[in-house]
Amino acid sequence: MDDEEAWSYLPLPQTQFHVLVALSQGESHGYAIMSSVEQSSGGVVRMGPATLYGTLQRLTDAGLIEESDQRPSVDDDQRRRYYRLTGLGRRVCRAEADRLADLVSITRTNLRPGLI
Amino acid sequence: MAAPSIYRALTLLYPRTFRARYREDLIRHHADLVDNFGCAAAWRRTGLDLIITVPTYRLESMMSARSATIVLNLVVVAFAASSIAIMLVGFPLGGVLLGVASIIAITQRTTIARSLRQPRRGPRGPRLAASAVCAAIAAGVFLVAFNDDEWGETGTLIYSIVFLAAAVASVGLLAAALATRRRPPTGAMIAG
Repeated sequence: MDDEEAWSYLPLPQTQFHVLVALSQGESHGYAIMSSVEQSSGGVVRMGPATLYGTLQRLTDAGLIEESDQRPSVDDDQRRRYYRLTGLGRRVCRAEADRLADLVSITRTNLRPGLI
Repeated sequence: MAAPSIYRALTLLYPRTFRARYREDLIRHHADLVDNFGCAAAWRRTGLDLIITVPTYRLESMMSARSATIVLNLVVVAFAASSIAIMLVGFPLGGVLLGVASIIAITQRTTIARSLRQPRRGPRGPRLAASAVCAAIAAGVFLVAFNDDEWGETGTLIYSIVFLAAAVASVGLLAAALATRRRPPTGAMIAG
């Protein structure tokens, strides 16, 4: 089943999940992914170049992302490599988001004001 | 500018396969950081990144996930096969090895499951591996049981059945594997 396959990848390392979330917005190249991750995490998650490309390599080898031949514009630097989510990557990203959402819900329930 | 040249030289510290795939991306990324954040801030980020990732990636290249998984699978199979062979010889304590193999397989079941569930590579590989395992069991039984005249009629019958079953399974799986078309790797495997 698709969900079982996606859940077999969980829990995702934080950096991998952030990259998948960045790519969920659309195709992107490495530097843009880094900027997106930094922005969405409020500056908390900062990836160096090798950390980023090591993560991209792992995600590509796992089949969660793939390189794209398309470019957003003709003027874009042709040497840049663009990445996009695969179908499996989308399912894994959604599964991890669901898992974290459940965790957040449990935490908010347990730590709601008045109980402490 | 000297900074990109220095970083370009430092990327040589990374493993060859990682370098071949991402070196130009790393250098362009560092140059973009210098342009956007200035030299000092760019080096603070990439310097720490180098310190952490160079030894990590070097270690990973020596013991890749795939080779570690292969070793893990071989250890489990070797323990299980040894246990069976030892118990067949008449030492029940061989079951201890079977217990160890089971504990390893259970605690590493996710890793083993992922390595066995390689849909991109097709059934040919697993069938060859299974044939090899059955051949090893047959060979082990033959060497231990048939070279020792102390077994009674019942023991000889049991070992003959095990030997024949393992031998037939090995030949059958080998034939099935050879008849299976080799599936080419998918695009994800040959990316970059």
